[in-house]
Amino acid sequence: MLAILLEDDQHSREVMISLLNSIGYESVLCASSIEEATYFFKQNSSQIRLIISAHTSNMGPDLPLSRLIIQNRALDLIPLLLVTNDSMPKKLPVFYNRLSRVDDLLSRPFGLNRLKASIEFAHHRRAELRSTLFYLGSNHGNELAEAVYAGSKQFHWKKVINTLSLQELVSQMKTVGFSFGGVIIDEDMVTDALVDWAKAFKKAHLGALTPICVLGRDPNKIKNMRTVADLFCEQNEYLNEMLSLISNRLFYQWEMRDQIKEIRELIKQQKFSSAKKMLSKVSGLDPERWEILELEGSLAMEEGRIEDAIERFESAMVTQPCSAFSHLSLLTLTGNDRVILERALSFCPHHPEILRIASNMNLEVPAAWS
Amino acid sequence: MVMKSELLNSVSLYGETSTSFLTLYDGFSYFKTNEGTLAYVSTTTAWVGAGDPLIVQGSPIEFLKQFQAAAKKMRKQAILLPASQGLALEARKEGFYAIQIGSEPWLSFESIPPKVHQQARKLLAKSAVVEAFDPLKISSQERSGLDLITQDWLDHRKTAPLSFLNKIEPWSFVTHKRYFRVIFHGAQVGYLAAVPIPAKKSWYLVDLIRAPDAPIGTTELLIIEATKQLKAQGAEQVTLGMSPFAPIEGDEKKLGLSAYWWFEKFYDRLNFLYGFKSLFQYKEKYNPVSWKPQFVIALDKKITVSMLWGIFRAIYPQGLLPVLASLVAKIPDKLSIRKFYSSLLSPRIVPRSPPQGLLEIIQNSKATLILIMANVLFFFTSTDSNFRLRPMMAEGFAFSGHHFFDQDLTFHGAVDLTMASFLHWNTFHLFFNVMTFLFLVTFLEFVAGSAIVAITYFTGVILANPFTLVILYPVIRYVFPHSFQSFFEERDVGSSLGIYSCIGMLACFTKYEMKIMSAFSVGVVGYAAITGSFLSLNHITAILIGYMMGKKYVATI
Repeated sequence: MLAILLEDDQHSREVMISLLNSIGYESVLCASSIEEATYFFKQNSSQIRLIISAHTSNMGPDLPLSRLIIQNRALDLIPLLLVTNDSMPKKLPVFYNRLSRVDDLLSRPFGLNRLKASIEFAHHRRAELRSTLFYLGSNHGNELAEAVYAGSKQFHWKKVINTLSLQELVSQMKTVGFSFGGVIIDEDMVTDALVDWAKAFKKAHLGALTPICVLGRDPNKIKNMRTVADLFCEQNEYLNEMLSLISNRLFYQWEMRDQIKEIRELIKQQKFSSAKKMLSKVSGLDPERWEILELEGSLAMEEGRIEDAIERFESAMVTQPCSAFSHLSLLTLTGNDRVILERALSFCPHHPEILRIASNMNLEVPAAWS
Repeated sequence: MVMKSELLNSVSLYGETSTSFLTLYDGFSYFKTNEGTLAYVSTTTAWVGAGDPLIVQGSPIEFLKQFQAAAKKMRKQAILLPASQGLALEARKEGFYAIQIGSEPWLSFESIPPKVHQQARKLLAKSAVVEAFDPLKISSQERSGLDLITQDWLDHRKTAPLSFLNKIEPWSFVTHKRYFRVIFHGAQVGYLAAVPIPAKKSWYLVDLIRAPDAPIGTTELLIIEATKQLKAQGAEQVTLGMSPFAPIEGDEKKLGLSAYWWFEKFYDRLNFLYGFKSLFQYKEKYNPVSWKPQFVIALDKKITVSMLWGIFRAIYPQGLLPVLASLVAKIPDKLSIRKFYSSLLSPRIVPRSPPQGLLEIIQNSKATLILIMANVLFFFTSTDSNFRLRPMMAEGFAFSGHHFFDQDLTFHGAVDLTMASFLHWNTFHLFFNVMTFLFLVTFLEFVAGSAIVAITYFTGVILANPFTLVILYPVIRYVFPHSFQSFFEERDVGSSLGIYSCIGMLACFTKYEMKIMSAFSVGVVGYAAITGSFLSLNHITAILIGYMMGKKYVATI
């Protein structure tokens, strides 16, 4: 990830680069002036993931840097932090000027914890502005719109745009710009073209930050979306809950990114107490996230809490029925229960381990799957 | 009289060292025989030869003997530097004294490591341009710009003007040199001049000049581009010139000469005078293909003070005073308080921006200045005409175990403890505390802010004495019972508890937490031992209070 840093003081600059490196911003470009920053924005806009300015010239009411960033649409998603010496940042007028584009004020002195918290807050602020949902389908447009316009406090969505085709969806996305924050797709609309588009979309920075939810759990219809959709919901489930799940995925994308990876690593290394400690922190943010539920299930499994583990994996599969890991874990926990195996086969028909278990149990595997 | 054209011809044919071409500059005399030519500078005590002689025929040592004889006729001693290793070893066989004074790195384009290329590429990514240029073809404005850069560079270095082989004459023999420059955002920010070593098909990158505010990567970009282009023109290698007192390796080190021990100390310790180490490390990062030792050869059995003085006068023809003046001029930079404080700071915390100018210094040290003023004000109102604390004030407000246990532990207790901190026994006591305020508490305020200073100061002032009392009570009662009474009657005033608390907090913002804590704690223990005062151990409590607060605070940020 690439960060742009404007900082005059050499010591502070070196420390900030070191802190940013430690949290995944491997590349940090230091600009000594607005002109240099302009050049960096032009050359690297698709790679920039964070902008931090401690430059004194950005501290004035005009905030030339933030004006510069507003003009560059490619930077709409990028958090902007302003570093100040002021210990009461809320007094600064910029905080009350919603057009200023500054996402958070980071007051010195600060270290890694405050920097991370500020970046998280900045990501949330960017996410908050992404309050438009796209719906691709014809069955639930009105219900979704009603749920959103009802102004529920469970989520931040403000608008739903209904689209009936992939072309319409793509064209509307371009019009709306970065303010859309999620895509809901009816399972009936899943086609090869849509899958290809979704894969390409997920590779871009905007796509990586945008949750895709598929409405429906028919294994045959959704199987091609299993690597690109972030979650799957039943069509007749409470829409508010679904909208809340999508909202959480959008908001906590940045926090979860490394935490989940780290927790998995800790479990692999059998450092269960550290994993548990870390998991308890993140699960408070987004408890229904299927990755969190899977991790809780894994920990429960390691600790011998079978019932808890089964419950967690089952809960994970509510929104992610295509996770081979959950299926395999349940098979292990239930001693290869036939019903669970059939379900695993339906959602992960090509998984070699599941096929092997089926074969061992003499379960008939359709020829197309073998 | 030796004609320059003749010399140029000799250099082209026989000049095998990096400094051969530089002997064409003005300021040298020439010792010429049928065997060869040697450029030299005549000083009051010695003839100082510039590098290896240009030998046409015969033995270089025989030539040097003739040079020595000629110098002796003029009542001068003879010495030459920098000489190649081959010549030095031959000279030793003849009984002359030769000693290594540095090493010269030789680079090839392929040997330059990726990290250096990356530095150059970063600058190119910022739209810098590097190009070869001909000084005769650029505009007068551009030429003036380059001259200005040279002057700024010289002014910035604050050294006395150099001569001998260290002259900066980029525009001499322009047609024989190669030039490169970096342009950044439309302005020239640095340039390089290379002189040929024709007999070796190599080049010496002799002048590497950058503007003081040139962006990082300027010199790297120049060196890489020059090396690349010169290679394309047929050069085998380039050299960056000698690094004085560079580490001595191999057989030379095994000689174990006492001078080499001194050179090692110069290299390690005298960098405030000249960047011996940083220069070597800078050249080393280009991953030279080889480092060629460079020697000084005294044409005698030993090197004498006259010879050394001769070398000094050859390099600094204006004498000792300008050199001393330039050293004095460097002192403010070397003693830069800002640089010193930055070097102490932790690499894990971004501190508040250092203040620029007096007004900002005052603004950023409000809490400290208010505390100092309060202490001074209280001092003048609480002392007698001899500036000693009035007994009545000491009786009423000084902390003591006796007094403390008479109080109830409420607000009034805290007020009394705070009051005690604004009293001082005498002028010296106040002065010492004000000095530590200015140098240590101010530093904390610059780094962490006024609120941190205020909270830490008053916490230390209020809690240090009671905690000390509670901790030491059982120890003194049972281990030093004879001191119990005096411990209880001991009195304490002064702001040092608040200051020590701030020092403990400050330690958490630096790289040297344990060293700071240990140094101040040992000082306190020493003071307590000398004065026999158990209560003065309250300073350790204060510093620990500040330290624990600091650890907690730093963990949250």
